[in-house]
Order: sequence, then structure tokens, then C-alpha cells
Amino acid sequence: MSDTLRYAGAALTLFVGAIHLQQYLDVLRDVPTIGELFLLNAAGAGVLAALLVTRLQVPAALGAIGLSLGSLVSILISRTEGGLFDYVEPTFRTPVALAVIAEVAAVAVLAAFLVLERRRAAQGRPSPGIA
Amino acid sequence: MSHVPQGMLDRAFVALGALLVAVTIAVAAFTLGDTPPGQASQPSSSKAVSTNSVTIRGFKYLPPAVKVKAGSKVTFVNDDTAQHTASSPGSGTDVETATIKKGERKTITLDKPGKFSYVCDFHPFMKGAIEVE
Repeated sequence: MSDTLRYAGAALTLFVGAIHLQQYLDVLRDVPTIGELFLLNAAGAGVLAALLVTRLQVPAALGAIGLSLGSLVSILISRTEGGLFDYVEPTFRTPVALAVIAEVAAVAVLAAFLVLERRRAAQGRPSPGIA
Repeated sequence: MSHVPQGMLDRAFVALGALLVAVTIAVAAFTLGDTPPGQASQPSSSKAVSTNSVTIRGFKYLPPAVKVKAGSKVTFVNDDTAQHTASSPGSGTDVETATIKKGERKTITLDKPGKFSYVCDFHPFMKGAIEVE
């Protein structure tokens, strides 16, 4: 179960990063600061998804949760009147909706993974993902 | 997870993650630095072009500065996927298009002579200017 959650979290994190890269290329490449942040999100998602299948899976899960939560907070701020770094997202476009769904799912799945890992550590059992 | 060997799955995720990072770095190398941050649209450094049409593309007004005769119409065409406006609140002009959706166009009429700057309400870093003769 723990491994299933971890792989699902890695897949969702990859998906979130891919959407950010696609949105950078399609819409936001000329938007100051926001464009650069989308590239950082995509690169960060790639690194964290890869780390989720290594020995650094717990820190990677925490990082991936942080990345998704940061993205969710950012989209909320960008929907306010002042926007985020002068960028206002006036419409809830399909890629935005997909990203929000994937980010919420990633947070839920990886949080569940961390809970299972914590229980496993408390019982003194090794993680099944570590050979 | 029992159908696919875990080692193969791990390698697949590492490869996909590395691919995403590599593509992102390549995209950054080709796209960043084209335009200095905050300089996406600077009408003050652009010579005003005599035209009645402004295209919005890549979060820029093209051309960033236009020159028209008093009483002329200026049409804004949104070629971006994002919504935009051209607004000059408090300037005493009629530069106010309201929201222009993707693919839409909005036309305004300018009667009062002068030089007027405008921005996008959604993206204030977008700047344009109209000189009405």
C-alpha cells in the first residue's frame, strides 16, 4: 500500500510539473517572475518525482507536498484582485483545473504515504521501498 | 505494483523525472533572457507607429505605441490564450476596452488629442501607449 501511494504521488507530481511546463510554453513565457516560477516548478517536480523512488523518499514526499501546496496557494492568490506578482488568472482554464485536481490529489496521497511510513518506523520495520 | 518489477518502475520514474528536468532546462536556455524581466512591454522606448490596430500576443501590445488622428478608432485584437484589457483609468481618455477574451477584438474611439499610456487590468506589467494627434 505504501509503495502504491508513493508511486501515485510521484506520478501526480510529474503530471503537475508537466502542466506547469506546458503552461509556460503556451501562455506564460513572457510573464515576468511567474514564467520563471513555472519553470522552477516543472524542474522541481521532476527532481522530487525521481527522488520519491530513491532512499530519500520521505524528504522527497515532504518536498512534493510543499510544491503542490505552494502551487495551490499561488493559484488562489492569482485569483484575487491584486494577483500574484501582478499576474491575475481571470479564468479557471482547463489546465488550471487539471493542475489543481492533481495537486490536491498529490498532497492527499503523499500525506497518506507519510502516515504509513511513520507507523512503519514506529513499529521498527524497514520501508519496503528500500532494498 | 505486483505486475511490474519494482526496480523497473523505479528506473522509469527516475528517467521520467530526469526527462522533465532536462526538457525544462532546455526550454529555459532557449526562452529566458530574450526579454529582460519587467521589460515585456515598454512603450516609452518604442517609436509610435501609425496604425489603428493593436495585437495582443505573448502578453505584449504590438506595436506597443501607436499614433492615430483624433476621432479615429483603434482596434485591439487578442491573439493570446489569456484574457486581457487595455485600460487607462483616470487619464480622461476613452482607452477602456473591458475584457477581451481569446480571439476577440474590441474597438475604441479616441477623440481627445494627447499622449496616453494604458495597461492590462489583469496583467499590469503589460504597457502600451496611444498618441492622438
